[in-house]
Amino acid sequence: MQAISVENLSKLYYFGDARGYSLRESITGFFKRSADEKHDLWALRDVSFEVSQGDTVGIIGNNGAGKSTLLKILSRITKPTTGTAKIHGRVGSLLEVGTGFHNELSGRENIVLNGAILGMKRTEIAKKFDEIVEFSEIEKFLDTPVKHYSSGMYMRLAFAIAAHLEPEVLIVDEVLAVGDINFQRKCLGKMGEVSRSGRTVLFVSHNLGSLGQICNKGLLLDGGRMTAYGSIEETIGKYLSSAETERKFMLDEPDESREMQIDEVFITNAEGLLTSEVAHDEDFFLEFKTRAKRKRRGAMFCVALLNKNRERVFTEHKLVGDLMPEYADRVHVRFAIPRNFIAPNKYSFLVQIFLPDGELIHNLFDICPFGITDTGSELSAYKDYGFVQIKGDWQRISTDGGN
Amino acid sequence: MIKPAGRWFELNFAELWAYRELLYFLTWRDLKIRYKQTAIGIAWAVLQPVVTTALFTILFSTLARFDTQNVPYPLFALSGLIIWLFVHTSISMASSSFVNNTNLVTKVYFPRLIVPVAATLATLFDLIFGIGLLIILMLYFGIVPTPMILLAPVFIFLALVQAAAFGTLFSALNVRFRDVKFALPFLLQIWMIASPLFYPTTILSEKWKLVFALNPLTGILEGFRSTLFGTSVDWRVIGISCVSLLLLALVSLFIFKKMEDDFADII
Repeated sequence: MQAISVENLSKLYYFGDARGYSLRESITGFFKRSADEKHDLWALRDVSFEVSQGDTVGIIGNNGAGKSTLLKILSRITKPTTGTAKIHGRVGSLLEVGTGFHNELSGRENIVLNGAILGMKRTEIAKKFDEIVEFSEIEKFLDTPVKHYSSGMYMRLAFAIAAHLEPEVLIVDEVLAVGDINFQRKCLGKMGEVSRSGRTVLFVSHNLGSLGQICNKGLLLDGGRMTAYGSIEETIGKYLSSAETERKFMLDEPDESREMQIDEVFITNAEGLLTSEVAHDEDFFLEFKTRAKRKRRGAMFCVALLNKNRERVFTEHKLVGDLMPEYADRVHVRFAIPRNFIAPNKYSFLVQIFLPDGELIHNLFDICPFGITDTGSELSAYKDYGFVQIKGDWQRISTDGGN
Repeated sequence: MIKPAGRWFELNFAELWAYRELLYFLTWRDLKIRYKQTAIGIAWAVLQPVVTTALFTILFSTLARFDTQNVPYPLFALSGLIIWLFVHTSISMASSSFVNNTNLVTKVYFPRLIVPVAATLATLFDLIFGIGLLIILMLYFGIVPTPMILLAPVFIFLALVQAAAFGTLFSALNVRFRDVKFALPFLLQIWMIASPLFYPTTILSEKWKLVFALNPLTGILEGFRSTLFGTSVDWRVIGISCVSLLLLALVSLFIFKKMEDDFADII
């Protein structure tokens, strides 16, 4: 059963028009209509897809790709310019936490009000009230105006209400990026629960990690067009490989005096495609091409991974002669880095050729910047969890005072 | 089913009904926050008509004497003022209701009509205080009501329709044209002078009376007073006002429905 079917959905924004806040602009605009067509922007163009009931779809794309526009149309906040969308069942949309919250009202009052704004019935709110309060951890401040709340408390309360919404189709925009790590994890857990309960969820987030954990399908938008729709892993993969592939290192001024030099360095993924973003659970490769004038006994390739502070994470070297027993003037080398080893973070490489006496023939420091992205590990709620991934072995030694 | 905006408006009553609880909660919220952080709070609802009535009484019972059909002038003034203040305040409140609730428009869906109507209903509370005041003054002047008083709620309802219609219209216009903020106080002032608020329609010639009746408030004020004080009333005036009100309300609703689809994009 299709919960959502979208056909050729497009949305055109007239920017010239939208700025016409004053009567004067509108009157003058009336006489020179159609003059400003260059200001038009198709925020969404011919998007068609279907979502089966129970699917959790992650919507991925850069800023301005049309994600929010799509959610707004599906939430009925704005109308499409052309195309149609059919949704079966009650839709609850959560494009912002705490919509309609009023600072002067108490937590208790805001729960009731916000619940109604999100489309809950009064009886439903009454039934869920205690659960909401417990989830938000604000029992003591229930009757305090929310203007006296800390921003964390405010967000917790707002999310707690939203999390207890129970529509058949839930539309959520980037709302998990709030609160401290514990609360984020709690939110993520709640989202997972929602999706497991058989409801259909559309979810926009820049956090590929949480998308990978929660969603089973992914929809990739680029410049208003849908460029991929399939399993979440595939879609994330496609998004990562489309992101900034121009990070290849090319030597622009060859130095003729060097005996050996590195011409190109680049990073590839398992499919052999150039990339600068790799998933945490994906093998990737550093490849480089070198040129030599003559054979030098004992020359070494050295590769080191640098973290975002340009400190070494690891160093690895290889005798050039091992890679090419027969002398060749050009060589293309591939160095594999296994999956689930380097933690999601920002990195770059150091690539060197040196001689046994320590003489550096060619030294490339801090090249090929790239990122490893968490696409759904257990630790994805942490923004930065260091530079290596390990599967630690936890064992209980005893359960009481050390006996 | 989501589709592009149609050419004609459709008013989905079933949906409005489904969202009645939200109307209730938004009204309740507007009411609750209206007088928050004010020193004298709800007393404003009483102070405004009292002071204005006193002012009118001093001005018009000494400078110009109108034929109010033996109704004491303070009563005549107050009965008109509570209606006018209600219409005036709710239109002002409603006109800024979307602009003050941008998030409600850009982040959630519900029938947009609810927002200005809630602002209007919240002001109804002030009117209740006004009516209380009026009853006290009627007792003071020893006015014995006739059975006609049973019709008074009809005119209060018409005033509510008037307030909601214009509140809705200006709330929509304000989303698109922020000129409303400047133009509205001015328009309301002209409207006040053009309505039989501090003068009775008896001072108008027969012909002008009917022209004035095109202003729905003329009929509403005249009708309200006649039901309260049992004074005679020109039913032609009431009739013209009612038809005029109906047309204005429909036009307002039509303009609102035409504009609401773009709210989220242009607010």
